[in-house]
Amino acid sequence: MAIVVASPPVSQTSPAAAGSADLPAACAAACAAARLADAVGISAALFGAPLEAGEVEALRRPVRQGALAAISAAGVPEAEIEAAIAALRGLGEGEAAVSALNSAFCLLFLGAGGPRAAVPYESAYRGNGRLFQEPAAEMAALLARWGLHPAPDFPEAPDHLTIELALLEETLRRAADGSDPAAAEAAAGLFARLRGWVPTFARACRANDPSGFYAAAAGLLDRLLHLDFAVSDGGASH
Amino acid sequence: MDASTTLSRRRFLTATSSLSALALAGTVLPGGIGRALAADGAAAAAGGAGEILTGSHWGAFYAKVEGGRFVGLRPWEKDYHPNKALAGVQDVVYSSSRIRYPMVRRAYLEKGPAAERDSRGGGDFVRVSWEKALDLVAGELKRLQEQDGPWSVYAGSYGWRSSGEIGNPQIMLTRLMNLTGGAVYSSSNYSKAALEGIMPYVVGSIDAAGPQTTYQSVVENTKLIVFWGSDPFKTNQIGFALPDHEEYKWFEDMKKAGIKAIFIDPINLDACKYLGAEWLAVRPGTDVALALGICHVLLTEKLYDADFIENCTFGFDKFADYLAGKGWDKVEKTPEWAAALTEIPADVIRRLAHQFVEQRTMLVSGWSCQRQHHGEQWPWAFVTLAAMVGQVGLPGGGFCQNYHLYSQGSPSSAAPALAPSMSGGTRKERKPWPAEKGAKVIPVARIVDMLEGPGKPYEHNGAKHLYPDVKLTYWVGGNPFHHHQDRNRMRQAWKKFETVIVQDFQWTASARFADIVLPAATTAERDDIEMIGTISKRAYVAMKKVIEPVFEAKSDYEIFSLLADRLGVAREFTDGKSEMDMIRDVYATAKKTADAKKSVALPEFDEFWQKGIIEFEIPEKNRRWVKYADFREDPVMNMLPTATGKIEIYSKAIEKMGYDDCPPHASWLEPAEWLGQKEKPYPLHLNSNHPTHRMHSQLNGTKVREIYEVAGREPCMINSKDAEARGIKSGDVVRLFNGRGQCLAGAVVSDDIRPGVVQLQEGAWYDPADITDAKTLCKHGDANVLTPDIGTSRLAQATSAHTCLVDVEKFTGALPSVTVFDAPAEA
Repeated sequence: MAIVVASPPVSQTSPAAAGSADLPAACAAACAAARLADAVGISAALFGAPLEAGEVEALRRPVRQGALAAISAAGVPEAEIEAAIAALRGLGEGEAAVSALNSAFCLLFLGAGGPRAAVPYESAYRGNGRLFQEPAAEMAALLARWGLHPAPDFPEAPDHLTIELALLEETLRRAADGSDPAAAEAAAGLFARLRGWVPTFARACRANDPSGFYAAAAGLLDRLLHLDFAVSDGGASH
Repeated sequence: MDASTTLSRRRFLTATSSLSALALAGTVLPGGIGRALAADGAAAAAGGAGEILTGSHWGAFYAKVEGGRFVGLRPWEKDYHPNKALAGVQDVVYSSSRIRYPMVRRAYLEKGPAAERDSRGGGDFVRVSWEKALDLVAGELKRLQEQDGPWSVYAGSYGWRSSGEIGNPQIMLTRLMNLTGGAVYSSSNYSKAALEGIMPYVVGSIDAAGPQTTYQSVVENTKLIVFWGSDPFKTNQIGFALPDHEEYKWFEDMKKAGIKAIFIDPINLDACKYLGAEWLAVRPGTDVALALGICHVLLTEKLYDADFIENCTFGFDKFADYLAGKGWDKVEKTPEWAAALTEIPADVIRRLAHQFVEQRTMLVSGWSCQRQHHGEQWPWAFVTLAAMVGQVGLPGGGFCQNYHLYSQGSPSSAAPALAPSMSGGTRKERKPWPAEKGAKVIPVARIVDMLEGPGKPYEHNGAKHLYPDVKLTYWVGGNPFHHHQDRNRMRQAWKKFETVIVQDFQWTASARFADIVLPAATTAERDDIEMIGTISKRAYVAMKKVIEPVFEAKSDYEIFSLLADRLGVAREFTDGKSEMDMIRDVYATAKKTADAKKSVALPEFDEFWQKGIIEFEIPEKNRRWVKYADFREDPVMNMLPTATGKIEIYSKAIEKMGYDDCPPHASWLEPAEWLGQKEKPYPLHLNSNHPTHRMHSQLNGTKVREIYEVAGREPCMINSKDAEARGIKSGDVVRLFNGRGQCLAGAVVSDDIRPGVVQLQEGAWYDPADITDAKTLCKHGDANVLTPDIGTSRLAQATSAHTCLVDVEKFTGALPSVTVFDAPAEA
């Protein structure tokens, strides 16, 4: 697969992205990959486990000081991130917000809402809708290729959204530091994979999320995955 | 550390150390799926390439396994009529509603049993470790046993747990509770408790269990078969043992033999159409009156078998007086009297009486007519009618109360029946149980009465009891938020429990309304052993594990063993046995019996397990077995285990109870709600029968739903006249309602249902719109938000779910934006 080297979109409101304009193209792309990895990592975390009190507090801050700054830095417009933060603020403060977010997480992603869910597995959106289908096998093979497996306290299917995002983050980082020539290609493949189902997942979040925050967060992820960028094999440029 | 940094430091992947390709694939798959890769080879030996023979409540099947994943299935090739719902077994394993981890309701985690209970059902659960969850459960059980006593723990857990002989979690729960001091248990069931209450007085046994007069006997001898409130095409699809659906072959044979059939039912069943049978659309709740009307004709026209009545029954004279208007109600049960109640014309009632006695007639009853207020009267009236017809014990004649479940007309092989190796045991007394602390066992359907009235007296089967003051319940292998009636009343009563523990594989409504939720493995994720055919015992199947448990699920046995360890009874609970040891025990017991009787030749266990299945021949002599033949032939030598040794048309034991809601002979008693009542509160009768495509609520969360659902909801069948009067068309969303509750459903307009009756089959998952609203709308179609929670009578205290009036309207409001079971892809 040909790797296209390009800069990330320069957002009007993205100081980090704006700051990379003068760097050589390959370096800029590598930096972009690193920024993208940060943003993807935050998204993976949001959908991997319910939020704790300190994390909710960090998410409530203004965009550039808050936990979602990395998503902004990757190029997602601040206004959209503000909307997610507003949804979070609308849940109140302290334990009330934590509880509301936790309920939403359980209902949407852990099956507690029965089928009132946004099922966070690729298999739910490809094929017959059952979990652990072909996408799980494909992701298992990909993880094996990269010498990784789900952490012991995260015994999830390999095609769980967070696993796919975590692998994307990892391959983006390896692409950025040039440690593996195949990383960029793998990252591109994961982008394509995620673009195939995250939009539907995000729609399910919008339909079923009682908190509003996860619907917004899924929207940000969808936006992130569809930014007009390409990933460089940073190592090949040096 | 900055909290935002915490978020970015969450790690979900870790490096794999092994470089072996197989090991790599294995370790990346969660829950040990990778370990199942090793089973692929074994699977190939058992079935076809990558296939494992196993089984389920829907039948035996070959599971196809690839890379440790359960990717497909096909029915056992000798299944007479594979169940369309079988594919749901695979869906269940991989359902998005699987419980993935141990979870505790947040408020409960913080405050324990003192936590508020209003937020149950709201979904605010916190994932905890297995250690934490088990510590919580064990701690609360210990605390209650020490501070209160066994009367504070309700372990009457009930439901269609997973398949197999060793995997019954309800036995495990009982055993653990008994070893730790005991608990309150439940008796009987939600299916046929009225029948089980009354039949021991009438024929000395439950009658509806065990072998029935064989299909072959019917095919060769019966001229007229009458299915009364019985649908053999439906519930026969499922079974506790692995069903092989032989009843479909029976129907083919009956059709070829040209046996005349009559179906007495408010619904024109597929089985009725298949046989080209006569459909008599009786008014619901009046079956007893119809039977009495026929009995009256038999009596007054002297059509009844006086010899059989004389030799084989007791108390006919009093019943005859009752028919003649000289009984307790002084009303003569003429065909005209019955016609007014049943809306079956009097001349048809007379004709039925003649038809029954003029040819070899098999009367078949289902259980729907006894799941009604005063439900004990139906089985009694039915058996009394059969006794008057006089063909009990003749080939192809008499009566049968179970041709609709477990293919009970199948002939039996000579193989011993498999039985669980574990027993619940008896209570180990750690403290005395004073009478004032209440009953040790309650009738299962009276749970809400118990919750609402701790310490209150109640009567059951001739005895007086007090309801215990329960504070905790531990539910395994069942879903009370499906099977119990009057959901809104139940929801309120459930708050009496300080602690609710649910152990299941999926987020049923009961799990959602729990405090502690423990993820159990499905049948496909553990080894077991089971028979094909409850009665036929056609084969033993090595139900091999298809895949390793997904997520953090554990087998019920492992969960209870871990709890037993925390409660200090590990050795007593397990007897040092693994699950495979118990499977070996089940087989060894059967082999010992078979060897002693020289009935069938069983190989050693390892050979059986390797082979996967042993099939048995059906002895020719068993093909024409006739129930009650011995009794008929010599009612003295082969007396029934009743007080008089005969069929008791009148019971002195029941007379002594003095119950006005259960007189001492079969009687017409007006139900609390029915279409014939003078000022009926709602105009339509609700028939909440067993679902066609599910097993109660099981498989409702699967793709099987696509076979039947309407507008994304449970279908509601309504007669065209009733629909027209309400402006309802097929496909419309309708609202069913009465004073107890309301739910949405999808309309199916049909003339296969009697006017005045609507069908909403039980088992649709409860989906409340607003858990804070006492009468909230169920958006999906749970029939039990509408049904009443009243006992049939003081005798059986069974469910009266089929006594229910409702109204229906086209739903014109804004449809709830969240609809249950919408596939995410369509959201």
